[in-house]
Amino acid sequence: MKSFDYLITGNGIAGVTAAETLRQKNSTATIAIITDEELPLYSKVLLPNYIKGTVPEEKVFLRSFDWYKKNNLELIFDHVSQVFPEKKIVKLKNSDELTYGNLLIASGGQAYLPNKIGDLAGLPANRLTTQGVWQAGVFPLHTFEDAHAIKQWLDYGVKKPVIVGSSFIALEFIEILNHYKNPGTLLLRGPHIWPKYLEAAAAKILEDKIEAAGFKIIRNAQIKKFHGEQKIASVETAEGKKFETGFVGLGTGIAPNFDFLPKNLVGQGVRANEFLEVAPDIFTAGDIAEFFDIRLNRHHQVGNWHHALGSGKRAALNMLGEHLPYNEVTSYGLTVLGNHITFIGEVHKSKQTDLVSKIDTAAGKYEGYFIENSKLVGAILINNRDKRPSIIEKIKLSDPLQNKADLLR
Amino acid sequence: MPKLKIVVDPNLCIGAASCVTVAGNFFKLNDENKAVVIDNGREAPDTDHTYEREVEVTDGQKEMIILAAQSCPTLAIFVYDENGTLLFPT
Repeated sequence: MKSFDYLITGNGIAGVTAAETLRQKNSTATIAIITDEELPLYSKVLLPNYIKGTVPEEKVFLRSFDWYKKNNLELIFDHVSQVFPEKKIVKLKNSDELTYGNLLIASGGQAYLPNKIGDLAGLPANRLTTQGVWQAGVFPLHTFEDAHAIKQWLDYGVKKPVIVGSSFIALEFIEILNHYKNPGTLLLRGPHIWPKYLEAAAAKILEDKIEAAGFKIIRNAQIKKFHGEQKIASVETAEGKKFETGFVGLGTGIAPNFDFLPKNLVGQGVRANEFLEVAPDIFTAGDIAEFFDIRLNRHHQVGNWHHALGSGKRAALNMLGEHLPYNEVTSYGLTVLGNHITFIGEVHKSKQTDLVSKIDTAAGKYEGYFIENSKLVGAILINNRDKRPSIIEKIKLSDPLQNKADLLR
Repeated sequence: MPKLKIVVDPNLCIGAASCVTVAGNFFKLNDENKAVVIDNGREAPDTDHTYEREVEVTDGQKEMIILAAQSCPTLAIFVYDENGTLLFPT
């Protein structure tokens, strides 16, 4: 049985940053990364640009296989099938077993594919394989191989594209199809885009631009069935509407990769304390970490690149013996049809959240501030980048707000 | 104080702006939503188009700038020391 001082599940930015940090501090430890993608670290954030042809393939890859060799980081191409924390054993799908000194769970998630694929032949009812859906013309946008397949289809030309979803990936598809001058139909499950984060009025700023670019937005559209023989022909909603299409972009969420862990260690994600500790000698980082946030005084998950990098680093340092909480204020920004949206800190609307906002519809600007226990915990800005530095400072300081309205001045 | 040259490749920059979050005294977004380099919070007439700048920094600021470069999801930020040696990405 092979043994490693540090074993990491996941070869994304969280796992690779952790591996890099471990290696910087310990030149002789045995470190391995388990991944089911036979690729070095790449930037998921650059995938839309790769599809559009604005960034070449080689720039998408942030590390090379040589880099792993040079840093003595072993890549194990396989799936984790089970972890036995008491025995400190990881079992792989190929039945190999590995033992570890410390384990980092940074396995992220995989694109959730709708289980109602209709008449498309050869596809299983649940958790469809990506290859199956590509051949059908139905694409998630989560991996480099997804992006490669999408690029091939769009370069060839597709008819009446449909996007299913209302969050980040759906909006990336909007950007991509706009670049190809091939606007299509956006099927939103709810009343507007980004329902978990945005108020309706803020969403409208972006939706007006999306419609002006030629896209059609259909709201409250529950997908009932995908129709087609071998290839997608139409998408049917529960309301009985059918949308003819030759290409479907799926932005229907990410299912966390943690089914190999004992159930007592998981909730929405992999449950951890403020030190990113899950159990003795098991840590977690990145999208999958449901960690206790000392600023919010509760558990939550964060799904941006900045967090993945920061939590990967902190988890590694804590695995090395430091014992510091992870409390980084992270952010992410993107541009949708020329409009810049910034997400800072905690921006999920929850029961604890008090939202204070200001909108300037004519100028297309929005600022929304998320407050919990009288403290500023997050913000969303649309076309308001100058406000960013002061907001970040306020969130970091975590001082109680005397007057919420001051945030809007 | 050490000097650094900070360069942003606008072709790679997607405006994620984690650099602004990490080192807001040295990065901001311009009108095209691309990161530009500022000099320790000081504005300059040509700020909006300054993808490359030499700055004098403390050791702590140098660390923040490298962290900012590391935080970039597209590795669009290049940091050089005063001898022209590339500090990040390596």
